[in-house]
Amino acid sequence: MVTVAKSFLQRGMQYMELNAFLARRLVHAGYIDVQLFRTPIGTRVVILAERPAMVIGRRGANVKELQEVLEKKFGVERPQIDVVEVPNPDLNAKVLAYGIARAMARGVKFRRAAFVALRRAMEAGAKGVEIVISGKLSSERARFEKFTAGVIYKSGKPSELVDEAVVHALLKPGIYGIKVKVLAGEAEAAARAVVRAG
Amino acid sequence: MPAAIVVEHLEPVLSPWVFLEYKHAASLVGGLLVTNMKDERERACLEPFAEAVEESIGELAGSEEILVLDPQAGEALSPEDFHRFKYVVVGGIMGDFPPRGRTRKLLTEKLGASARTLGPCQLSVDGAVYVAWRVARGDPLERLRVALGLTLKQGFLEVKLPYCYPVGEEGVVFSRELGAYLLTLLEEDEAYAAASGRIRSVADYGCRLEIPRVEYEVAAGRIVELGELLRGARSRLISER
Repeated sequence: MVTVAKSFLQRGMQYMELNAFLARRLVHAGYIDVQLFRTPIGTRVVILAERPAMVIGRRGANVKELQEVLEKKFGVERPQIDVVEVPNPDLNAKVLAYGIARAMARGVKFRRAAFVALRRAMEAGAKGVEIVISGKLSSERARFEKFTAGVIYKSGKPSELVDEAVVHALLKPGIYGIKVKVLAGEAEAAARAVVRAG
Repeated sequence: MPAAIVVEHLEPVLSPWVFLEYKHAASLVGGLLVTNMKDERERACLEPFAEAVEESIGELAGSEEILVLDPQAGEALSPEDFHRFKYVVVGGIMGDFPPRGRTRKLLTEKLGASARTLGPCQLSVDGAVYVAWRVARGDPLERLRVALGLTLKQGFLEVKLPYCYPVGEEGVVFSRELGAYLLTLLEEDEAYAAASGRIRSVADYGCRLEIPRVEYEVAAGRIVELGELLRGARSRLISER
């Protein structure tokens, strides 16, 4: 008999494997996240992506293929896939991090890519953005480069207000880590409301 | 005659970053021997500042004449070591964070030589050369001060270097030219490396780096004496055992 703890662990493992698989497979579609909801008639799989049309494919061909893979390879029971476009992509930390990683892989100067992401987020209404690029190329020292604008909460319960994402970019001469934190305007307003109510 | 300070070049390319550290090291101690420089063009780039040779230090001297400065060595460097050995060797390695212990693998074990530490924190090449030079002049290693990390600030941008930098009488020992390079040309070099898969050598610049002049702040981390770090490392070692 499967214990409660074991069942939670299994679900966590399934999510991790699925997330890693989809991140690889849907990299060009701007994959962001996946959510699994178990319903009486099967499993609802919600895929968040920047470009949903690329996930769905021609007449839903990609989705049908994905459904089979999820059922056979990952043991997801009767999967029903919904593809959702990310609301406010410029305020989503993962979208920004992937954008920087893709630009760096194309040979765009990394500081330029980071500043573009910083400006995009601030123009979209973010209260604060922090981008940290770290890494080491051959014949260079490892280092961290931090780009900041506005305010980012670091104490209290920042995880609830600050959207955070980490992406790794493996390039030919070395590896970079890109960490993005975004404090959206709405989150900041909510935090103020809580303080006032308290 | 006290031992000569030598840098054994161990990176595949003499990148501008490596070059600027060697150049600064040579200016600090007034004469430096850089060994294991296989590329003739790169040797020529170093000629105005330091003596660069093709041979490794292992080919130039016997292992009993060599003392390697290795962060993983058990014993600390002392002024007497400069009279016991002929060459004190600093690894020309660009560090990783956290450190991977490449000095031990690529230098100490390969040469089969004695080793001494300059403390548990990782120093830059010019920093290690400066500390060794101060010890050679008779300063006890324990009394020398280092800054734990350095941050270069320019507007929205901060470049954090997670290494130890010695603190001399005139402040932190750090090449301003290297700082300017990190804030300007480095970005272009990395974009080139990412696109082509090849790291640019300083020889590709015709040995002349035209680094734009930039204004920036240098913020040092906590300043401690090396003795404090050495005592901390020793007590950690004992508790691990």
